[in-house]
Amino acid sequence: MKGHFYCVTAFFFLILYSTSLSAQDIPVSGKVTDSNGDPVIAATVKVKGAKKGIATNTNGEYTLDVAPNAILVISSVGYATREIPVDGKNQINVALKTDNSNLNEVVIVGYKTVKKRDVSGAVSSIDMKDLKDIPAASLLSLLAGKAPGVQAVMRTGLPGGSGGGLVIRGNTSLSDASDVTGLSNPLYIVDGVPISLTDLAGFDVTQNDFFATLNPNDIESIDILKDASATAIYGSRGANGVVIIKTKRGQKGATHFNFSAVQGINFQPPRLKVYIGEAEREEKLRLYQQSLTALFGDQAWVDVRNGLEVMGYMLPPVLTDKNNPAFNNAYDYQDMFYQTGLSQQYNLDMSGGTEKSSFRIGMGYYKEKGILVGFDFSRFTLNATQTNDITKNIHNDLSLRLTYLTRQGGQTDNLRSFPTSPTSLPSSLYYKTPDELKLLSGQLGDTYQANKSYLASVSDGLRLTIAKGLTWENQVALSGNFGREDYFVPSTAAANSLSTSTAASSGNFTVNAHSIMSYLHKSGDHEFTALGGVETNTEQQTLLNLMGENGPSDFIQVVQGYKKGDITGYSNIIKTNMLSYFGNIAYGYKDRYKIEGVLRRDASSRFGQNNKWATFPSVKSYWIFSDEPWLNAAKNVLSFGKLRLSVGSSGNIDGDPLLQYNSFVPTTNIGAGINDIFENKMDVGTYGGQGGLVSDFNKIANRALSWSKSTEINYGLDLEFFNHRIYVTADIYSRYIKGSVFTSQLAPYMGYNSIRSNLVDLISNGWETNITGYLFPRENKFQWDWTLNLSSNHTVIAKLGNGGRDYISGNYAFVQGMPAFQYYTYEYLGPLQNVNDLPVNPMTGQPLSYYGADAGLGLGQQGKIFPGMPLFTDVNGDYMIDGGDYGNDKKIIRGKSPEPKIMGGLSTNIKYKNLSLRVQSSFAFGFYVFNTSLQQMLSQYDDNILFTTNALYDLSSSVHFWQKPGDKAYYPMRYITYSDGGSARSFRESSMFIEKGDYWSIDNVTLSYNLPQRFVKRTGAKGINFYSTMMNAYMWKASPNIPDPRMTTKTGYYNGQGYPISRSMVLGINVNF
Amino acid sequence: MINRYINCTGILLLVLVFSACKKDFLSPRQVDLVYNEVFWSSEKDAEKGVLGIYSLYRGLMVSGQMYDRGDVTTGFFNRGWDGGSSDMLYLPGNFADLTGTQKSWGAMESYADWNGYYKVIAQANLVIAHMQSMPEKLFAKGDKESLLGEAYFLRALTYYNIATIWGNAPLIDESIESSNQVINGDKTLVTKPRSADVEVMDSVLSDVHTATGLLDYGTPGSAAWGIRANKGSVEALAGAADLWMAFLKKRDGQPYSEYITDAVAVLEDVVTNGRYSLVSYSSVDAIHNMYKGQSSESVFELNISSDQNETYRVDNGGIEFLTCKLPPLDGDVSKDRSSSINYVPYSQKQYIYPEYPQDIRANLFFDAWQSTYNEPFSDVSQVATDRNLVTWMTKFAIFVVDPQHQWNEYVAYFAEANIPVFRFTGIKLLLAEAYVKNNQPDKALAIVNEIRTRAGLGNYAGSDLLREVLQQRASELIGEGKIFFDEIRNNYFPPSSSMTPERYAQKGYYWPVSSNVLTTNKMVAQTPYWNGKTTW
Repeated sequence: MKGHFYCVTAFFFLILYSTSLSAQDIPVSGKVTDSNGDPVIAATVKVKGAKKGIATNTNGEYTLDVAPNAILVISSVGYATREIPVDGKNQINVALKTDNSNLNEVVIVGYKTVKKRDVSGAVSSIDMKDLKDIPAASLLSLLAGKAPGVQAVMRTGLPGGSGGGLVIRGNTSLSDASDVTGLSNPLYIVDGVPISLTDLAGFDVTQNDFFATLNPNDIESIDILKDASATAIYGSRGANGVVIIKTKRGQKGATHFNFSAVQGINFQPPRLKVYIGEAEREEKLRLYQQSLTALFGDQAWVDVRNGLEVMGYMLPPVLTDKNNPAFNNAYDYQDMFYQTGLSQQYNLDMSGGTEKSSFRIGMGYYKEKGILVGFDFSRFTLNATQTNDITKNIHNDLSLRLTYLTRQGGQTDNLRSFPTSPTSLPSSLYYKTPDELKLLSGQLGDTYQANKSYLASVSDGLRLTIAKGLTWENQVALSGNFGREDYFVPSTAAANSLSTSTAASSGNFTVNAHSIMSYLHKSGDHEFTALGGVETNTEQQTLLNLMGENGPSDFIQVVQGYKKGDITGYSNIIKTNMLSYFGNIAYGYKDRYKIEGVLRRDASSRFGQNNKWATFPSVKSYWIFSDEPWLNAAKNVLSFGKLRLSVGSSGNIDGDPLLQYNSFVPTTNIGAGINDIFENKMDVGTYGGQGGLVSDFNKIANRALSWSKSTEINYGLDLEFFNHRIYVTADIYSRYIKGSVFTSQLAPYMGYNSIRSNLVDLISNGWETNITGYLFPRENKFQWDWTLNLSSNHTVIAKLGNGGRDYISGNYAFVQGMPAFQYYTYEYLGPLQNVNDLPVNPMTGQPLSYYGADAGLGLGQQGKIFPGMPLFTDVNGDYMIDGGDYGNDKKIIRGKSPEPKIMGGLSTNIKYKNLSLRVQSSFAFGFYVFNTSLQQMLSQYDDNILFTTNALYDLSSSVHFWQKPGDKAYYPMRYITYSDGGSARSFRESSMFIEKGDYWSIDNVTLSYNLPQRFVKRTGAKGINFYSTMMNAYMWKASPNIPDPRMTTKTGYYNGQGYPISRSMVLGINVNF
Repeated sequence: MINRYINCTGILLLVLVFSACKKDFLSPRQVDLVYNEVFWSSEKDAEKGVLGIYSLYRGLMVSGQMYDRGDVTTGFFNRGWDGGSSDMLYLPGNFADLTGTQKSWGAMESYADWNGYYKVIAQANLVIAHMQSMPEKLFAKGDKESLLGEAYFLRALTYYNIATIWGNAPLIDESIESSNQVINGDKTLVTKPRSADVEVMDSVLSDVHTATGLLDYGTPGSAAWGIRANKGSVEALAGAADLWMAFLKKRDGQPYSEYITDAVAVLEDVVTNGRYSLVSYSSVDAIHNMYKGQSSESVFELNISSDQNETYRVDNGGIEFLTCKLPPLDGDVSKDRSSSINYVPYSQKQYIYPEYPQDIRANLFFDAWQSTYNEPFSDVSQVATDRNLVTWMTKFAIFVVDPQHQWNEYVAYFAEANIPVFRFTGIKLLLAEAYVKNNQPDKALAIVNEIRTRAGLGNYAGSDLLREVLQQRASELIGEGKIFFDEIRNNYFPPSSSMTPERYAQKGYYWPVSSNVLTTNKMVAQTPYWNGKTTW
């Protein structure tokens, strides 16, 4: 787009130049350069007060005939305009300084590029300059805290593996899935190609991360459209926001090269403290003693220790056999999983061009050796763009993007990386055969899993200027995303000693085309623009899957040579199409008042005959009040001020493309019902020898299904103080989402089990702000700036299509008037201090007890609650607390949502001469995480077998258990159960483990040094830069026991099985030549 | 140059616009599924839909639940200690004792859930609705009628089951195909209350009436004989429904005699014209051939056949699992599973075959009938030969060895016995019952004596002919899911049953409905007798 701007101005001035020579003028020539001395191409050189002017050529040179007393005005986008008197000189060289105002930066909004000054919706841009050199497997990890209202959800540190994504203004997805399908994904538009992550994930066999396919070095800008008025032009796919990613374009002029190389290491995460060997035995014995004496007095422990069976209890032999060699030769299982990772990244790009065309080619290679054994990731990218001014009225823009991404290691589930949960490792005391050890480590190291993504995307845009102010723009984009998964588990790494092999491939092909006619008319103070367009989008998803079990040899790692009956496979194709019309009309007055209307009509093949079409309107306006004459006096303080107001609606499509169909399935699967008798071993596909079909009772067709529509009102304020020193942007919004798609269970008489329908309404209110301040004048050699962005979003369920009743599913609940995903579990009240504190059932005279707990069975005290044991709310009022996980006393734990109340980022840049330091951080406050990690470690106390066979974790530094009456401990006593089994299940999942998730993470710290020019020149290069970055440098957490509050499932449970987000340190060099 | 570009763009756009304007652009043909909009275009499609109803119904019945509901509830059987069906079914009067346990009736509650029945109904409704609108010319002559007739029959049969098991139940006869039928404008799920048992049975009669007009009698020996519904199957169901209706009307103090006369008429029709005949009880093989299926007595049964790949592993469930001793493949009798099957204790035998040893059915339908054991564990010694002496039902003990079985599986069998729904003997005895109730005792006696003669017994000389009909039905149909319903219909319960007059008066012969039904459909109330007796 920039290129186009240059060439149009260039032509404009060429024409002027050729017609305005006059006799008394003198020729003036010179070179326009930037602060580095590089030529500025297509800069405008004109005479003040006259129409005369010219653009610089590819060497930044100009020649112009002017009056000897004229004043030259030199300007170019991105630079501050300079005025220089000619004073009769013939040679005037001009050095332009970078423009510090961000108002002239361009933003892509709704099929057109506008200056930031002219934006009326809520739009954030991410400055890629700060991010391009930081090596990261996924762009996503760089975006945390970068823009207000934009949350980078990262559920795992798995390099190249998906699990997260961007969420704009709160996650409104009602799915409990922890992958991308559980996010309200915005629409991504990469160089004009719209990409739906939900569709990509739909059939994708690789579970690779979309953000890992993008090389940050190739990206020019990321513009994020947040409010409905900005996204309305994207209609049915815009409700979750739109993220527009534009790759870099070439600079006209001599070809530049840029090469960067980065090497780094990824540190192993901190290990969980585990008692090993003799220490484990002693600690376990001590715990036995403690709980026995606490309950039954000192004598009980003495008797047990002497090997007598007292009250039916006995110690496990593994603890009593002091001569067990394993005590001195114990295993540290965590050693088998972790390794130090390595990363490297190389980028080479070249860019250049002639007056009529420019090109850029970027090539990148990234490789990471994981911090878990067997994990690997690498990416090759090639990005090529070419812009052409074919004639003065025809402009073409071609962009090509190729990515090859391969990710290795692990299991088939992205969010599970360890072969055994790190929080339930085996005890160090048991001898493991070499085979058993190999099985454990082999599940990580020997399992072959390669997930490859091949992505090719081409888009071509052709713009024709038909008449003055009238342009016709056409774009066709093709994108193909091929995924391939090869998974092989050798017989030695399989618990049943049967090797398995899977080969799967998936494809997602999109053809998108749009054609837009736009018109601009400006006369005097009035400006009128209009835009009308049509867009079609066709998408095809394909899948092929082949699986084999019990292969011929562990050396053959593909599906070959398997017995016929050991192979299964299937394929799938789904097609969806969209057709859209859209228009935009804007009227501006005096460059400071503007009102704009947008209308889009969308049709999707995903919906039934009468619901295919929907209309999405929006209106937005702004007022630049700082340009009002009566505020002129304040210009020195308030350099710029703009008020924005917008109202609009946009939509969202459910992920399942086939909901409108009532389909039939062969009786093989469900119909015959004979398969209900499990392990039938026979596919029953017929009745009386003939095949039949039955309705797919899992869902009922929904022909009335439609888009969920969100209507949003947004007030915005943009301020700039003290001439480019302080910028403030603030937005406040309210959004109503009508008809979010949700599954409800049907009454059994329907026959059908469930329906997905537009059932739930949500309401979101929030605000967001971004403040940037430069502590020193912008011309100073010493620069220090701070940027803070903050956002708060509160989304609640406004209407639950369940007759208003709460919806409870597993461990979460939806309640009208509250955020989705409330924890649904036992409510922990603390340890019992005194038996007399127990409420007594007035009907029976019995104190509160545990139901179904056989603790104290041998004493005839079954279910009795002893001091130190946990109390949970007796929800059903039967004076019995569930002793196991029976679900009778679970309740909704209100007010503890896994969605943060406030989040944002804080970053700072310090620059002195050639040295700069950059620190970026992100944070989130006011949310709760279920600490599954701790719960799993503690739950071993509830099960005497697990207590013996599992490792014992050392939690003494952070977890305090009740030990004697009067203890103010939060956690109840550890009551180690004996051979008679069940207990109170003190450490079951309960609100005991719901902890504050608040964190503040220093995401990266970069120290960078530009080699002084005098050294650079000797090397023949134009610039050399060294830098060092530390990623995930430090994290402050409210809870010491949650290793990383970012790594949670959708419902807020800490995912201790996932690949940890690790700290890394890199060194890099960047050479320009 | 310019023109060329404009032309190219123009052509490209034209292509786009045209392709977008094509009718199917917004309704592309999906190739990965078959759906209503493309289905229902040939006779074959219609038949696949009808066979789907059969499959669903068989899927429902294959677990042996009619045996559990119709036989186990009589108290004739005891349950082996580590197997068989839900414990409490064997103590029909003691359901109330279960209130002490929290929430988990477990399998019992699953028996109270009618979801599976309504899946059959939904499929039948769908097939009926779509076939009715299919043009006649898509079918070979008469096929549309007969396929429709089968669909009506299966819907009627399922509602007959629902009405006899739960009594009052929601009555759905529309094809549910779209969301607006299940969710109203207020985004609330549409719910429907229970219709009275009389209304449900009325709909059964209406459907069988329709089906009778659409179907012909079957041809013995044809592939469809017995396993696909024909006019005989429909009339058999009609007779059963008429007699049940008469019971309901009589209970409610309404006139009921018309249903008796209807039953007599329709059952006479099937007995006379249905081309059925009684199988001779000459040997155990003859019995096995009959239960294997498609015999001359097959009025209606559900197909189970290993040849057609339509069978199930008996060690994982179904009536064989519940009733049959499975001989170990390696001949090692110590591995037999006598401990897990249902058996008839000595104390209950008199109620099944009071005239044993004259009655040859005891040894044709059961093994070790002479055994005097009451409890296979406390009574029977651990000696393998003694353990063989547990009385177990052999009716359905027809199986083939699973050729794929693992070396260590010693009871890997596939079932071979069809699941009986209506057997000619049962239909004849039903006619006898109707005759008695229609004051035609001579005709009833003739049927009773025919059945008795085949069983090796002399003519009936007693005075309570209705009771004798019921006795013959019990002796014949044991294990076929009928007896408990006979007892309800006639308010006659043998001493083995724990039904009390109070419970009967409160309609405690109906099953409770499960919590799954109650929580998702607030319009449905619990069956009154069960209020407070279940924990959901």
